Amino acid sequence: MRRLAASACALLLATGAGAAPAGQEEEAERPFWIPDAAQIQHAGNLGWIALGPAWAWWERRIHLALLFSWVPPFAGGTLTGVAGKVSIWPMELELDDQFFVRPLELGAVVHYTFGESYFIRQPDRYPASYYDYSTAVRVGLLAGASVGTARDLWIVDRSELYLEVGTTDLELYLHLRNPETRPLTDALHLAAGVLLWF
Amino acid sequence: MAWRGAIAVFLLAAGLSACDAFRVHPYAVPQDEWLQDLTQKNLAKIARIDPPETFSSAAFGDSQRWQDETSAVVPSINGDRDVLFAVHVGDITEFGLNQEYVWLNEYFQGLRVPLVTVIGNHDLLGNGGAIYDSVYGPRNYTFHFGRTKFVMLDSNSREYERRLVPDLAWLERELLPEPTWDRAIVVAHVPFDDDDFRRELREPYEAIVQRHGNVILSLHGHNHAFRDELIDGIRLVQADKMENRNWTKITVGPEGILDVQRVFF
Repeated sequence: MRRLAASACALLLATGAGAAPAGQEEEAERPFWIPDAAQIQHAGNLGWIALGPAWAWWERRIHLALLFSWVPPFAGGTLTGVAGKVSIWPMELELDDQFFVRPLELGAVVHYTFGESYFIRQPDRYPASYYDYSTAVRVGLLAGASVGTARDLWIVDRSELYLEVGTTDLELYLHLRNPETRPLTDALHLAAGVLLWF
Repeated sequence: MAWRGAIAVFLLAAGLSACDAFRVHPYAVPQDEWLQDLTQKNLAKIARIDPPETFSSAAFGDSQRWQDETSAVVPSINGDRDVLFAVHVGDITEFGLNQEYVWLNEYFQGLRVPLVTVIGNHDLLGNGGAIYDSVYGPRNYTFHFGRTKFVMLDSNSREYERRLVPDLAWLERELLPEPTWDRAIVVAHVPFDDDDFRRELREPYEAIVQRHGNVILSLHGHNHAFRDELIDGIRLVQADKMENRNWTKITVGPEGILDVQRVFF
């Protein structure tokens, strides 16, 4: 029943919901395309809000998320895009019966901004190597941590709040090119989000 | 319970977004009040200056990725007491990013004199044009300083696929003689003799600029080198890029351009 509810949620919301990975047998039964979690993120240079399905393997040590991002007008948009985010979470520490901490996340993200103003490679109207970078695609690295609870909440059987520090290629480049005025902290940004496991 | 949790996270995220480190998007338009309508704010400062007959302005441009050098141009310009206002000739940013507009304007806040700008081709990348419009204002505008009219023009032809840029009809209207000014300086990022200036507009541009004999200078950037030349009878000055650590001091008197010199820092 829970799987049915979760699958329906995935189809309706496109944020994903999968069966609870209570054990490896059940995990093996689950079709690969059914997500394990819904992920919602603020900032991280992806969008004012970015949300979508996430999949996990190896007892949630490896995550893959597909996030649709949006910047509303009040936050400097309208901008829309899509991001692929892969990360590893090597450890989980149980605080008590209900709460846990995952103290380390390491990951990478690729973000694509939609719109004709953005290019992956420069349009034909420019001479060769006029702009030798993409305006549509940003790649980044991130590190983070989370706290969570394993309490059942409606169809959610596990919830996590995470905080990440990250950088993107151009932020890092501007820091490296300008060591006197742009310290490493200027190349870093923060993100906060939630993972809801089903 | 889940709803309450979601609402709490949502509110937390909204609250945290007030912090600059929570960057929402590389091309988000800055929302900070101090980064709105800077052209209008600086023109108001220029209007408060009592213009002498002879004055100097500082022209610099192509700050782009050279932020260390650009931060150093500020004290250099501040140190020259002849300079009454500064002109950025475009390519303020390298990538048109939100963060570049923020950082570079943090430096420019340190200028002792007002700063006016024209948009460069790099400033238009991605959502950079919308950011420029919000941070500065119109891409074509004019102002007077004494009897000299400054015509600030977007000449980044190659960045516009479906529009003829520069807007020569607007330029022609602005250069029609009026009793309020005697001479004009046209400021545009891409020089009119450059391949990035729409080829079929070069001759019309030159014709407009020469028609009334009142344009004393065509001031540009873009090519990352200093130039001071007569091109088809028009005096063309091109400011250097910031990486080369110099700006251009332009002195204007009743008879026109009195002096153009580079100031190294």
